[in-house]
Amino acid sequence: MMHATQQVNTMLLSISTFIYVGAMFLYLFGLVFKNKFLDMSGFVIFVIGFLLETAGLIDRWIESYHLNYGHIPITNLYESLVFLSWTIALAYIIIDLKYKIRKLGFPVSLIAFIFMAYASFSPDVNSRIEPLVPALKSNWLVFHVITSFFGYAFFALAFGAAIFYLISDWYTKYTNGKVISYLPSTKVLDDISYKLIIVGEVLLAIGIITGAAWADYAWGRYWSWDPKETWSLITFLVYVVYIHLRYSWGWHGKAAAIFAIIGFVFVLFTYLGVNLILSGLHSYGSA
Amino acid sequence: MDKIIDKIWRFFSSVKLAIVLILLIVATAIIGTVIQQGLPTEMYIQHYGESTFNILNSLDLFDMYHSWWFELLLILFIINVVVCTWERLPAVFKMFSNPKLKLPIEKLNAFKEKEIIEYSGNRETIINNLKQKLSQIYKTPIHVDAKEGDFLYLEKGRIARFGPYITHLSLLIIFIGVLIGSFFGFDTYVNLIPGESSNIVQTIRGNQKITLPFYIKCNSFNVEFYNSGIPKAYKSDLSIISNGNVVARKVIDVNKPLTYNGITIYQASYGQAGASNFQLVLSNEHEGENDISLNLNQPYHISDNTSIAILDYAQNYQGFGPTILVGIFKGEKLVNTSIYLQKYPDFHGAETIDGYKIRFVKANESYYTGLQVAKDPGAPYVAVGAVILVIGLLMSFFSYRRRIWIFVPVNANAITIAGVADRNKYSFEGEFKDLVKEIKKEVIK
Repeated sequence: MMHATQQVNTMLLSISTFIYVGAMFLYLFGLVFKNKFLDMSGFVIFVIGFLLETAGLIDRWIESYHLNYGHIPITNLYESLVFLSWTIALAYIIIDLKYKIRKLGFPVSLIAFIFMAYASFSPDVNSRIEPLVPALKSNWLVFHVITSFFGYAFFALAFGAAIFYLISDWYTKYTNGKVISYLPSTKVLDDISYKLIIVGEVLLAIGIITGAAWADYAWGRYWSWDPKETWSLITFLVYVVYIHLRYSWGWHGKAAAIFAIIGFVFVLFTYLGVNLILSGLHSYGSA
Repeated sequence: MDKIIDKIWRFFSSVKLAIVLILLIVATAIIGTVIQQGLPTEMYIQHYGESTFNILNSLDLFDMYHSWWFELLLILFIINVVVCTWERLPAVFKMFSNPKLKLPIEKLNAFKEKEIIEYSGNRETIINNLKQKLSQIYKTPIHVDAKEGDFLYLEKGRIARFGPYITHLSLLIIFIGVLIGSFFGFDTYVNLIPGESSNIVQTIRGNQKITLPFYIKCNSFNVEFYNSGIPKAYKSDLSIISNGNVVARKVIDVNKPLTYNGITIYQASYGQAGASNFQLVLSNEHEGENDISLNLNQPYHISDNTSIAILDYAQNYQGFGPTILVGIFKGEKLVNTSIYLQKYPDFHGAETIDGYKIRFVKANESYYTGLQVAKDPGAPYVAVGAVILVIGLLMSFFSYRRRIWIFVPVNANAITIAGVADRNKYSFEGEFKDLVKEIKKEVIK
């Protein structure tokens, strides 16, 4: 019985993985065939994938109570990958509803799919619900992880927009300056990428601060140059440079897009590289 | 002399320097995440070899975040940020106390966001209607009645101009907090076995001993495990003893510390203090099985002349699991030793000591509690600085200053609307267009 329910959440999450890849193809065909209906279907399918993923996470949360562990599903590598794709999906849906940048759905569904596929199909990632070690039993966990992950999510979206910028830029040049109205304009993409980065930066700052507050509360030391802390500070500083280059030197366009892409490499290393390659407090246990 | 000071000042007021310093901090900070910090010297020598070790060590790379050169980089960065802020702040204040309410027409025409609307009708009525309309849909304009015509000045998002300076000053507050902490605070640990008390703690960096103004007594320590063997909770029942009196008592848990007189005691870790009590079964053909409990080195008489004692214990002896070393004594004299494995009770077969078979059932491990004892009077400053940092970021990022001038000249029936945004030019484009649309509706009725 217990085992059966645990399969429900991993099954829901696997299904949403496939749905994201389906949405990605619809978005892609929408771009290739310049078809608004395909874009719309991509979005609808993407939202369905997101809802299933949400259901999977909620079921997993409830299940952890059945196992007497009772914790939010953001505490091991599997859960963190799923949660990251969930935050990316949610952030995209919100900004799409607000700013109508549907076509960003293509890189976003691809990114959401990659994280989900890594979680669901990599033999190195264990999908069992595990109990919390004492250090993680704190309300700070929720604030710290949610703010940090939404920060990562916004950087991921900015990365998507920056990649799209380069494609759009290249395509415009390729077609001899004839603006392809179907692709989002480079101006819009540049602006969106920047705005997503500043949202990510604020969230990352709050994530770092809540982490420091938690460490102070748990160990009396708000900063100890642990690799995860250090890398999140490094990532924060990389985007500080981006923001100052933009404000003080008016960097934008291609240079800013390339910077946003490099910035995301730092985000990825902070999120995954530190845990998988370096050692420290944040290692995902059996991962 | 003044020239030198001026040069230094100019050096530190450059944003370019800030970028260079940040990139240097980033590049060097990465080194410390690749080379593990603060391990014992022998481990480094073993890993890198003597000569490489000497080079890396002379660069402080094994404790690089506390090295003089890394701290120098941080201090230069703080000076840079403060000077940059100081240098630019007066201009921002001036901008507020003395905004440019009117601009010459050539300047207005030079703005990218610009629109000219021709009108017919009464000039005064249109100006008044516009004022009313703008107050409703955008902001109450400042009206300047100049010789060349009327200016309506609109400004939004002023607060954004302060954002960056607030963010930068928050770094100074955080830095002050860090300094206070490093001068007046300490970060130490002490390990206590249940029943033990101590007023001496050891610094985490540097291994110095500090005497506390009170004793910490560990009344008891308790660790619980999940079925999988992962620790579920560990708690210490602590008393604070001052001048022989218990002045505080609390069961602390990870994430639930105890604070007394500004000094906080955290449940940081625990460890095995070794096993001191063992359960054995002694069996004999006549008497049957007999459960006994022995402490380390405590003799147990099997017969008048023969006794045994547990001399040593290993948690995992050569992969065979928990193992005890038993000594067999004739009188006071050790005549033989033998090992007993918890997992393999039949290891000794039929072998007996004076007719007795020994089975090692279990070792009762005792734990020590690892306490972190810290005082950081700078932490509140750091916390305040952090909150101000976030407020500054929100002010800078989610608001931006934009100014719009509406010029109604005396000598023509055309209104010039021109606007500029400090940042977010793209969003402003849309906002400006919408505003122009509304103004058109109002003017051309």
